[in-house]
Amino acid sequence: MTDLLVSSCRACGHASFPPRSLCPRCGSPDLRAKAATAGTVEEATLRAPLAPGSPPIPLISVRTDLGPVVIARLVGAEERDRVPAVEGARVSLSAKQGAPVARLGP
Amino acid sequence: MGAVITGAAEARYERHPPPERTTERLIVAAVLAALEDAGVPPGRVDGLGVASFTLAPDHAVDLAVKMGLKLSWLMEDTNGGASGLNMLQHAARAIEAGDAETIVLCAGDRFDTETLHRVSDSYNVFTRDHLAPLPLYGPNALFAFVTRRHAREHGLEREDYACIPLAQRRWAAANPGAVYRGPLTLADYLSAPVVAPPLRRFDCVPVVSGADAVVLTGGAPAGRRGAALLGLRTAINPDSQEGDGIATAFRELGPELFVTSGLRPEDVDCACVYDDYPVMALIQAADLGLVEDGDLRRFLHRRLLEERWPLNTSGGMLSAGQAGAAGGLHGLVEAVRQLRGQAGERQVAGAEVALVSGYGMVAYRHGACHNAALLSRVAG
Ligand SMILES: [Zn+2]
Repeated sequence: MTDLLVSSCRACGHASFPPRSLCPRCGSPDLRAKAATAGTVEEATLRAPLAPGSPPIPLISVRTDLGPVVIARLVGAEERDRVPAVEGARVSLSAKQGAPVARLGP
Repeated sequence: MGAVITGAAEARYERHPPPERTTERLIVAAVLAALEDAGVPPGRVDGLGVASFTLAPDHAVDLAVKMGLKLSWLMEDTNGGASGLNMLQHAARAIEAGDAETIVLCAGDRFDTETLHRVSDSYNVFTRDHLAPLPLYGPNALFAFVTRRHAREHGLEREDYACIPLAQRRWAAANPGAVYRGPLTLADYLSAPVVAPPLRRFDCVPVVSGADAVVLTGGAPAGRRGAALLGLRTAINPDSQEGDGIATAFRELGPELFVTSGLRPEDVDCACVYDDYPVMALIQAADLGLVEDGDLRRFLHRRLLEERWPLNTSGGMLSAGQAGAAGGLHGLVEAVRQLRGQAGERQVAGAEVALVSGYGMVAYRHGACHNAALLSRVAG
């Protein structure tokens, strides 16, 4: 696991994910990487597996506390049964090979 | 001189094409059929536009070489569900400017399971680096989120969204080119296999192989019917993927389109909107002004299901199938057929004005490309 990095604009403070080349709000190229560590679940779903018999994938749309919405995989054995009841829940965020990973709770 | 579409055709859509039906052959078949429909010999073509996810390593020029077309105008478009109208926007200007006189626009893809996964996992860098590793398995989960947001905002249930695939399947029964033509009931829809809640099988466009093509000239030759382009508007990247995906650029683009075309939404006799998912078809219909009083539920149940208002009369991609980039031309081909009186048993009587929209390229969370056009019948 690594930090979930968003691009944060030094000129106006706007943050984006996935990282951008220029700030979409003010156009500044002066962006730095910032770790998004927590957020709130906006929507949740359970993607059916491609191979029959495999477990479905819990996926969520998360509004990070830094601003950007990220699409994350919800991990933890018990979470699978709680989708989409997790809408509105707080999650902590990290990344695995570039993809956002979320766990319920702070 | 204003651009007029004088021919339109589709190469057979099918779920499991035989090995010999390659992307190139599908596109060539659609081009030849469209030229025949227009009564234009291939030697007269001087402009070519191509969109495809699977033509590589070939490009538009290779298709010209293989078909022996000698051209003064060439383009290749990569905008998926918005590619058809995007090419039409450029082609119409080329004809008005005199850069070309007879342009063929074509799009097609041959998909098998392996190709489809490769294309959807490497759609762009955002997808490859941040979505495919989840894994995401294509855009269905993203549109599950969009549908949830839309349902919450408008208080709609699955029974409401069902009206779109149900109404379109009834049109598909009269389209021999649609892959799925059998009856679809509400019970079938509600009990279909779950894909990504709230989406089930009939909410997700079925991927097929196939191709589409149209022929464009400056004015219709005497004795031939055509579809004249009245107006076309495009919005690319209106929100940098930071909006909610349900307040789309169609909201601004729709009124602009009608003003520039000198028409009102009530003048539209039939419409083909981009239906990769029922929620997107509904958003386009509403934002382009087809829901007169803004009452979505009434539009769905009364206008579409009961009164059979002609939305996506081919059956749409939800019944006809989505043949990759050809999905961007599918609605235009159907609209041209309606305006030229060639829609067979599903012909809309007296169709004079058609609305077509395109939507696509899910850059991260929702589509980044939006376009819409109005066309009118030109009597030959
Ligand atoms: Zn900025």
